[in-house]
Amino acid sequence: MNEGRCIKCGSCMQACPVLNDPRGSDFPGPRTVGIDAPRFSERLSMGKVSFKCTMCHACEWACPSSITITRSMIRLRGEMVTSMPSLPGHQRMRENIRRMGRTVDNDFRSWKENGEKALYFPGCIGLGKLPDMVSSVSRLLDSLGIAHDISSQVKCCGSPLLKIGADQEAEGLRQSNMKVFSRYDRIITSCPGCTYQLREVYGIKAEHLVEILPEGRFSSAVEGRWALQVPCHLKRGVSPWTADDMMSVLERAGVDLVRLPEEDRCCGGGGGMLSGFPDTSDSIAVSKADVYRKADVRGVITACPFCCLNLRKAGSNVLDISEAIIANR
Amino acid sequence: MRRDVLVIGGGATGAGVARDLSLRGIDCILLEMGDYCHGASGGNHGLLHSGGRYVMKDRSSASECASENKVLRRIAPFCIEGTDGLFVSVPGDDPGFGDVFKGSCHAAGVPTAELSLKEALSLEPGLDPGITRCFEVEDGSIDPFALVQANVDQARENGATVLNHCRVTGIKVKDGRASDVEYVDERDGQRHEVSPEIIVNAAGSWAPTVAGLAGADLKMALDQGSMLVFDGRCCGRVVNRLRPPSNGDIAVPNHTSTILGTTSRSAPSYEGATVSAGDIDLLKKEAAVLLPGLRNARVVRAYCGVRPLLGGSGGREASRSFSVIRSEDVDNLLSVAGGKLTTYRLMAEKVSDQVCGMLGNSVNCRTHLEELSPGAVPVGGSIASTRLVRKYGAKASSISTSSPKVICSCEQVLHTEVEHVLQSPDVLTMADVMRRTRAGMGYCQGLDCSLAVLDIMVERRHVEAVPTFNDFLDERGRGQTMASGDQRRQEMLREHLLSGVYGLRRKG
Repeated sequence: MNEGRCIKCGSCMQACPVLNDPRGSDFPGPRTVGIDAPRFSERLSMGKVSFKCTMCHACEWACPSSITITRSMIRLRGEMVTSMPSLPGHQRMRENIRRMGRTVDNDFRSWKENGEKALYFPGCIGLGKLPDMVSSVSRLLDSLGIAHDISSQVKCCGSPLLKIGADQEAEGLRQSNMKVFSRYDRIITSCPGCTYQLREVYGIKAEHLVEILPEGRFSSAVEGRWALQVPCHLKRGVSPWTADDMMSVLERAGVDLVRLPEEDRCCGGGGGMLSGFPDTSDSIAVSKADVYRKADVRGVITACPFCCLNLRKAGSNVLDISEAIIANR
Repeated sequence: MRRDVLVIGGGATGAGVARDLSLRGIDCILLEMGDYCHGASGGNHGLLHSGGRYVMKDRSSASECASENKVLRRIAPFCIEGTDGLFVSVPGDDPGFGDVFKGSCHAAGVPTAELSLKEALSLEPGLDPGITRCFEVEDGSIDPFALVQANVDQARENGATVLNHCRVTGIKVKDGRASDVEYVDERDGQRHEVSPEIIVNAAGSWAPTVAGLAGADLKMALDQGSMLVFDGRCCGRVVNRLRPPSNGDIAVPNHTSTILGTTSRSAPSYEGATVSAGDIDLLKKEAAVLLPGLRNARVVRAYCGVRPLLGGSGGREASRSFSVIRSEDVDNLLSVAGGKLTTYRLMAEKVSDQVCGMLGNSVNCRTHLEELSPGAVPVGGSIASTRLVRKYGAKASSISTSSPKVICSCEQVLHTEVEHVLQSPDVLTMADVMRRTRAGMGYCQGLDCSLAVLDIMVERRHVEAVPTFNDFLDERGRGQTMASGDQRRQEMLREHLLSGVYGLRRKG
């Protein structure tokens, strides 16, 4: 690994949304967990507080030595999971996956299984918690002329399992999903976490909705001033250009966008935080919602089900990008 | 002030003698001019020898190491990591050497077992895959600072007076006997006097100087060994080259680093010993033969120690054994020469036996029976709290872990550790804090922690901030003059922050 390149500049700690939140001050921080801990034989003694990270990659982006801090933290999680009991939320998530193949229960009934060439993969949170968002993405794809299935056969992408160190179970999901994927030419996602997992771990060319939008022509479905919530796993996980794509698609559609310096700061929902440390996750979301409230915008547009869910809980008016635009035929 | 015994020198030997004598009920005082481990006790690998290193040329040293290794693991487990060690040869090394080594280990009583190459490579994946033979031995790593401190603590518990930062400045001799010894205590800057029956000169490299104060002549060869500190543990076991002792053939995993050494050449004096660019190149080149990863690993610092060897010539041929020399000129002056960290307790026992003989005391040695800092139990919860025992032994339990605030991230040192060591009158400088807590020893070399440590010292001790800080920078700076690669980047940032931003570093 490349932890040995650290020069103790502190940029990672400055950038960390957890460390800078009052409820996150017991997190040892990206530098301790990702850079210093691997050098200690006592590293496993840190226990569960070292999981208190949203995996937002902000530390990694801030690092002037290009240390892959997030990857190092994930590796440590894998080592730790065998030596300590899981957090209750993480245990619940694992049991859900074991029982029904997904992290959360769902009563989604709008499956589309017509043998199309493209597959829309909404992910567990979309199916379970945001069925309206899934429908609007599906409608948008239809209006862009992309005929697609939404398969009831696919399971969780496995990303949450990797974040809690359950590598083997994640591998089981990958094998099962790959059988379904083999029937399709194109996989489209609306969750940045799933996109990252399918690309980096499955090694397939999954596309996030935001990446195919620049091909289309849209008009605005909303009025008033709106801010952006740029998803961490989209900008810092999938591609930095996706943030520009989001902005330019919305602006061309005529949405009145307010750009805020905090727009790419984490909502607090990722990395197993929402299930593992709901209080901290909530506290980060509340301070983020506060930023939007002070900016006096009508609401926030994002492209991630976790951001939607977490910021809505904190009181923001949040739309997925698919809900903010209408395709021009 | 009347005393039975004055021990001069607070390295492993001196502290060991003070502990031994005090356990036998003898009234003694120890004076150390700097901090404990000021000389060779602080400038070594931190290797707990199995004895394997010495089996070929110095069988008695090897046997002593083998038995003392067991004793130290029993009496000071808190500051020892029983990593075990490997002796490894590569193509080009004498193929017959392994068999001779094996036989010699057996003869010297050094436990060893040959490993298959497959076993060796799976135990130590960093080894060059082309190795030709591998033997396992009972090497380990030891923290000399913690070990010496524990000796000091136990000596004090048994009535000894132990003073660091006290330099002996004169020894009065009357009728062939040393009578009064004058020393200056750095705490008050005043001269003090002590009148001992017997003086034990355990001043290591400075032993000839101390003997000279009494007008006595002591011959000792000063031999310098350079070492490199690599960031992280590049091997899990001590890795030795299976060949006659030579340069760069021992790598010791110790705490968060790997210490590689050594070189051997004669040194004019302790102060005159320096690490050259050639030493660094040589060490890296030799070590990379066994552990190829070291070629590109980050070297945090270079340092050297000076071995106070027996006899006149020094070097690799000189014995690593020790002797106690009773001065011909000054009847009550005993000087200790030679030896090594692993056998410090045995040396102290021999010295103390002789002292007891001179005083007519017949109590037996107990240092091999009494555990140092017994009852040490690690506290979990964080890396920092789990490590406390390794540094402070049983005293760890008096350090608060309720606040997780870490002051030094490289070494995961708690804020409360610094507060704890500052309660001791032994601690005067930032380097004293560092030797006890390890704050500042990590790869950033104090960038992250030094100002915070200074802050606590100013608050608690009312020290003058800038001179205290500059002393520390000078101390750390010595090992940094030839930093390269990422360590060079680190040094540039440190330099920029301390002198450019804070305007702290003294010019020149």
